Amino acid sequence: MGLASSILIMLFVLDELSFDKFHKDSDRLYRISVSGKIQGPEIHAAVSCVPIGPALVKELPGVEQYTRLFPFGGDPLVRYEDKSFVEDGFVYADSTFFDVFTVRFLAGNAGKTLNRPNTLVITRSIAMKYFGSTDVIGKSLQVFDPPQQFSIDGVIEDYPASSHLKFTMLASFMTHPISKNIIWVSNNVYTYIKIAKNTKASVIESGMVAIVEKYVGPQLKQFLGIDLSQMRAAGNRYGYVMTPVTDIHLKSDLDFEFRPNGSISTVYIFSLIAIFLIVIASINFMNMATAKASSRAREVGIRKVVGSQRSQLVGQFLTESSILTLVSFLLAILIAFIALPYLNNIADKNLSIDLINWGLFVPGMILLFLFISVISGSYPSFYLAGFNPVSVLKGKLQMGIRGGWLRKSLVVLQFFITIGLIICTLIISKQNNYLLNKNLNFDKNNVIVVNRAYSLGGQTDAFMDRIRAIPGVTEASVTSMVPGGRSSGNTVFRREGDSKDNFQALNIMGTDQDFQKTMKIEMVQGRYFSRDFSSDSSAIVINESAAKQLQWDNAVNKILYQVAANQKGGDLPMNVIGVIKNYNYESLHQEVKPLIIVMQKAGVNSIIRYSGASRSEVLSKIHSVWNEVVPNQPFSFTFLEDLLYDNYQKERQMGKIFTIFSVLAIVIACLGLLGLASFTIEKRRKEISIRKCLGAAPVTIMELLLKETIILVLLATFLASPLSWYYMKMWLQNFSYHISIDLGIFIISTLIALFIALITILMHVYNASVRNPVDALKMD
Amino acid sequence: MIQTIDLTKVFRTDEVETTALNKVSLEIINGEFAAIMGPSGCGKSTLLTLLGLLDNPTSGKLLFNGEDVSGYSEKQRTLLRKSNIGFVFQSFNLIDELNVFENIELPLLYQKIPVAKRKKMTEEVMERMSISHRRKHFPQQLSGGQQQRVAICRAVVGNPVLILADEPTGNLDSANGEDVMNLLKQLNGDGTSIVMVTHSPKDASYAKRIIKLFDGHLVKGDE
Repeated sequence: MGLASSILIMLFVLDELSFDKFHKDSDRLYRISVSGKIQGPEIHAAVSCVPIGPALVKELPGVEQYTRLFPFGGDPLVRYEDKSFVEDGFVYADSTFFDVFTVRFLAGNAGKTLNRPNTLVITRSIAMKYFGSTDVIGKSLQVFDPPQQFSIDGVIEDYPASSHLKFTMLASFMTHPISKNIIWVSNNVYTYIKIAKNTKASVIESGMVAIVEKYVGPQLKQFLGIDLSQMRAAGNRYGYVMTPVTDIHLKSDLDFEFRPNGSISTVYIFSLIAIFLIVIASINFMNMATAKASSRAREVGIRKVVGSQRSQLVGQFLTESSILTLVSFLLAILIAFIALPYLNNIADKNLSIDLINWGLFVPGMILLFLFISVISGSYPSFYLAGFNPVSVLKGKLQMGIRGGWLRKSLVVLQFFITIGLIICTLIISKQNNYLLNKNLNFDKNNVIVVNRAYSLGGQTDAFMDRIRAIPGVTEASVTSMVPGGRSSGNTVFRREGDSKDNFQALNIMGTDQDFQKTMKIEMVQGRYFSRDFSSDSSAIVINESAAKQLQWDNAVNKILYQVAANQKGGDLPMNVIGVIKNYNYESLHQEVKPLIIVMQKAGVNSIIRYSGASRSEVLSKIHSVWNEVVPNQPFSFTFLEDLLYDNYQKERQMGKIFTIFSVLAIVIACLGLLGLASFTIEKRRKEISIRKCLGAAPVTIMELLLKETIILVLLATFLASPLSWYYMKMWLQNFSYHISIDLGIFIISTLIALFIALITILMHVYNASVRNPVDALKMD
Repeated sequence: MIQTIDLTKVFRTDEVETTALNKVSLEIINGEFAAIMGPSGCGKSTLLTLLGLLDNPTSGKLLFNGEDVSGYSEKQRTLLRKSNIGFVFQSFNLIDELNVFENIELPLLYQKIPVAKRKKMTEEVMERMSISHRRKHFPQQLSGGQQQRVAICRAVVGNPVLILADEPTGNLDSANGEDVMNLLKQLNGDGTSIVMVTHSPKDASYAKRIIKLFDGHLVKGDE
């Protein structure tokens, strides 16, 4: 079982490590991402600007090719004749995409696709979904919104899941207006480059410094009125970073990642667990084999008397252990195969045995097999073979003190791992609970979020009025950002009275007048937007963090300028009318950052609060209103609670996996303990009898025997606690909001381990303590 | 002190039923030194374990100070045993992990005697048996005779009224054996009753009375 889990974990690790390795020349692929600081917070985003790709190829000889990606932004509706679906993998890409990344064409040709506007390359599954065939070159798909016609000039094999990129349809980048963008300080596309053979990434990176000087400098001057050196003097930076594509999945954690990445620490932890499990399993094997030694001692004695040499005996025992190991290996592989689908289900992965590189896997397994059989077989073999035949046959078997210590340390090691895992599991589940139950300063219950509200367009007001009229709906609002949902970006602001170059980037969102009421967020100062004030179109509401960052004790009626926002490119004054309580508008991984709320009548989402009892009724009415207002658009919704719940998918998965491993470790450690217990009891049988003769009650004997286990478990706790405390502290730092690790968790974990340990051996100990002392004493 | 009436012990395994003791009736009075003799397998040791309250008889009665204890639970037997009976075994049965002092002190521990008193009692008995100089030694560092001396110390430290000895000299050479028998005789002289199982007529000659068993039957007693 230990082995089976290890194999599964190794699959998982291999999968994580294999990300983006399938590209030809994957070692020469890099992503360009922006990194810097302009007044406000540090910027580390996975994106860069539109013109940098071509500029790099032009300016730096080491850069062979570039390609840019730009996700559709929201999920478009795609239609072919009577079939229409909402697609979540629609991405604009340069025609050079296929020069940089490796995909297999089923129809069409890498050099001749995506080089005209409104062309499209789709994957096999998309082709099958809309056309039922992959032979679809020249056919076209309609994409909304706005309505556009794309003609297909390529069909590729489904893009592998083991990439940090994810898409199902690639549209020519030049179709999108953003492709004409020449602004260097507006970072919104993903840029990838392929560098020439034998070119060092560091050479390219230093070359980019000159590019920043040449291109970014003048634009800063033009738009913000300062040049690079002035900016740097004020403690700011601006530049680009290259990340190897193969490192992105495990090592990159920037803002605006293409999709959520994995983490290298998870890979380390799982590798460690796999090793632990193998070690534990081997230890148990050793332990049991040694404990059984006493019963085989006579066999060894007789073999020795009839002339077997020590080396022959060692050989015999090693062979036996190898055969046992081989059997468990085969069983393990079988179990792994059977359990794989369940693991995929839990970990939300698509692992398959195909991942295994058989050329490496088979020799690896053979090596592991040899290692395990020798390690787990050697101690018992030498131990058994070392018996003195005379004393063995006389029935005097002295178990060495050393052997006892070794065996005890092995049990301590197992409980060390077990307790460590229990502690981690408890902390993770406590944190997960905390994430779900923390007061977010808004009311997340009974809220329906209608997605793709932007497709309502000019009908938004009409839609909202009809929604508010539905019985059971108490409040409704449109917003560019649902709490806990996708961020709607940031914008540069300047305080009234500050100099032109003293500006800061702050997060911004737009809502109508009803957002604060609908979400039930408190106001700290002033008021929220209201229909009673026509001047509110140029008003803003800020959150407490923003007030703090702007150093306003009383923010109401202060003026904030949105830099370069009016028609003439000048700064637009906005009047602060209120300060809203800091609510968690991002997931709890993030602290509440400064937020500027502007008034806006249309939004990405519509949020609707209903009164508790009539959920399904309200929902069906909202659906029918949607269908009447925008009959062509598919209706998509979620409950706010579910949306928030999904933010912590990764943490729950981790919790599940830890729980499984804890249980596994507990089972394995208990087997080990059982072995030790029966061994010790057998060894102390005589002593127990003597003590009973002298008047020890069974309870006293049980105390005596349990004491040893308790000491071992406590020792293991003592060792495991600081380590797991340290590791969990690191993990909790992923969250701006997290629980504190208290002593209680360690005590509970210890009690759980003790309880399980004692239950395991209780039966044995009880039997030993009530056994009639005469039986043992008679053996003399 | 101890009286047995038709004491019978039958051992059953799945198929075989062995009668180890068959209706044995005898009495051990205060201050007695009795030797139980008989060939191997005659039931000597079984009788001793019953007298020592280590096991319950299959039938018959066992009176301890006039009270029938044959139906006692293990807990009751333990309680009675630990303050009244001391044991001496052929193979000493000392606990290897404990030193001489700790081995002797053990029964007092189970009688829940306070530390100071326990220490005093143990010191006294070690002094009396001339083993004090070995107090810190472990059983394996002692000769057989010395080990049996420690075992006797352990048997008498709680001032029991009865000592049961199972072939106390069986693992000893003749000089050490004589030594041990003299110790037992001395204890008997001090008023402790002793029941001893032995093969050796020489050892039996130290006793005041000889009880002979054959195939589970009492052959000769003198009541």
